[in-house]
Amino acid sequence: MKRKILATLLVAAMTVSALAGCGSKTADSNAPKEDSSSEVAETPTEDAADSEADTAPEDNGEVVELEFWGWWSSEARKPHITKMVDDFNASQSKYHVTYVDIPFGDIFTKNIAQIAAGNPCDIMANSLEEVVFRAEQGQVEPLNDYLTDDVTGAFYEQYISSCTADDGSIYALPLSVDTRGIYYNKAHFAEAGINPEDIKTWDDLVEAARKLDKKNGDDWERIGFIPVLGNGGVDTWMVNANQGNPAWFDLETKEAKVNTDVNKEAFKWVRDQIEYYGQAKYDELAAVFSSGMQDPFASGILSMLVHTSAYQSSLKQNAPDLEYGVIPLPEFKAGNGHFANGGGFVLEIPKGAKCPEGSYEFIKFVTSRETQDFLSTNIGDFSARNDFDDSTEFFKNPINAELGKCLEETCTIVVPNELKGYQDVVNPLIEEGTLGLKPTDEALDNAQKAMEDFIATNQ
Amino acid sequence: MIKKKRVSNIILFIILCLGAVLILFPIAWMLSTALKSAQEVALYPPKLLPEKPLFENFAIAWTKAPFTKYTANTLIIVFFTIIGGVFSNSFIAYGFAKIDFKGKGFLFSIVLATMMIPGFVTLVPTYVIFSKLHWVNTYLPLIVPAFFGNAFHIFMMRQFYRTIPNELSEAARVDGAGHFYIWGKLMMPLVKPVMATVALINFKGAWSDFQGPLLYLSDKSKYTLQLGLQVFKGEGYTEWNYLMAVSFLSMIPILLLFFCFQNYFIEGMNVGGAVK
Repeated sequence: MKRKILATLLVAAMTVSALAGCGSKTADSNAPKEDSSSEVAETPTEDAADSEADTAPEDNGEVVELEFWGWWSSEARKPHITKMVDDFNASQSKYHVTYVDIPFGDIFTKNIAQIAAGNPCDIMANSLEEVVFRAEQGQVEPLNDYLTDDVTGAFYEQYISSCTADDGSIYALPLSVDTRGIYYNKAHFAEAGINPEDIKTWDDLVEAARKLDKKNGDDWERIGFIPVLGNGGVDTWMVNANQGNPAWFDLETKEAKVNTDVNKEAFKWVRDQIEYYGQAKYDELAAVFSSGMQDPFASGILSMLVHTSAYQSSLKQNAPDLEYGVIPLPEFKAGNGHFANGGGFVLEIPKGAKCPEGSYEFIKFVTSRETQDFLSTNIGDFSARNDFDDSTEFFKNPINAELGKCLEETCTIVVPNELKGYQDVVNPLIEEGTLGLKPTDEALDNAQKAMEDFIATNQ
Repeated sequence: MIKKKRVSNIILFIILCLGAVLILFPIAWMLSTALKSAQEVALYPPKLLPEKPLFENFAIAWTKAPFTKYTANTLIIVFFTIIGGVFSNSFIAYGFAKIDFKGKGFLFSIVLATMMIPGFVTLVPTYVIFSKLHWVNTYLPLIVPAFFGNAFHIFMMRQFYRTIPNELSEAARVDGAGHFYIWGKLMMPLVKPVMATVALINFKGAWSDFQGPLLYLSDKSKYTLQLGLQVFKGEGYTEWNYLMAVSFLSMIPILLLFFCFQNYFIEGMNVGGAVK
């Protein structure tokens, strides 16, 4: 019996060794990486740079292996990302970058776990809006040691500002940005005799929607427009009404300003549009959009829809024959501005990356004008570069040209670290107003109180 | 009386049929989506049946990523997870059920208490440990924990063991048998149903695990089926028909296993009346 047990234990030990061997190549290559990166994580950047300089493989003529994490795994995007990485590898001989695609959302969990373990990837794609937060949490390396004025000066100031933490250091460079516009069905517009250029204000939008609506008995056969479907939430309209400023707080004083007169009027307008079609219809369509599977706009049920620039790729697959156009979000009142809220993605170096110099070289390459042009043309993302003009192939596409105009009045709302997490408190109360569970004014008053309490508690 | 019973049986049958339809509908929807074109999937209002079923979607989807390799990788993890899960939990549960030792109750409470800790809390520390062991990008973090027991499975097996009369093990002890012998030769054959249950649960857990492989595997050649499925999800667009096709195929082994071992499974869950 003892022999049997011993034999079993030996077999188990051998199996474990064999399985460890399955990943030996990478595990071994990780081993020194982990050790060195642990040190980097615990010592100041300069020391880390020094220690890297002492042992940098490139000094020995060795190629430094770098890992670049992103989430582009689809056939529409991955080949272009891979080509971009190959181009970088071919452009120099010091570094070799490997692209690793990890599902969106989950990539961030994995990134945090690896930073905590001291062996993060070398270059990471991440959200633009959260750069300052990650910098404060010590999750990213500053880029100041490598940046030059010509590099930072090539981006629109607002995006570089979103990458700049309170300590004045820049922690990332913008990879791509997005905006929101109203996609419209050209055939519906022609049928209803609407000129898209005539939609200048929210009132014009409602007027157009009424012309587009079609009712069959008690049911809606065609719906002109519901502002909070697609990729436009209440926030989108509030930012528009507030001329590109945060709707729920004051960026300077960091005080709550939820129940302002502008917000009350704008929120009531949003709710009125929902009520016009009925709560049941809205619930039905909201559920459809939440599932992400069916698309009422592509199916010709909705005539107008707020969405981001990325929506084009979906329409290309779901409704290749659909004729559509894009207009900017209309103005709350004439002269108010066509503001939209937008976000974007950046490239950054996770804290503890083994070779920040190499990582930066890659970031610089990807954010260069030439590579950004390549990415925009092939993937459809917008660049944050200010020298990215209409002469590029990308802007010859009329939809991109229209969305490019929207981008000029797009604001990225970066929530100050002091107010981080306020959405968990405010959003459910705003939702009560959106769904008609409370009058919109009351919902805003409740949210104001909740926001004030949140700020008081977190001070 | 017989007529009354027949009526109640018919009502019961109808209720069960309705329940079955409710449960099977998502699977039917999955299959229907797998057979549609991208345009049909996006159609609103949706149609349950595709206009022209595209059976080739299964073949196209399967070749969009090395799914055969991913299946083989998943099977490696599943195999060792089942072995580890079945034997470790059975062994630990035997100890708690049949061996008297000081602090047993306290130790068992601690084991049960681990069920109260949310997985997300231990995610980063566990990752750090495996990283320090240089196990990242290997299958070890996904397999080795199964060899150290699982609180729920230990509890389930312990309850099953407790239904076996102590006289059996005591008689073996009198005859000079050790605990390993009693566990391996006497108890294991008696707890087959609950072992099958644990095996099935482990199979399902490892087969459909997404977060574990996501965290620990970076090398594409080591990816599992669940990670591979993400290839269909783009930033602005998801290939639902292909995603559903491969999801449907990946669900078949779990269904087959359940149908093959459902008697064991049900008996294993029914810890109260285990031993006849």
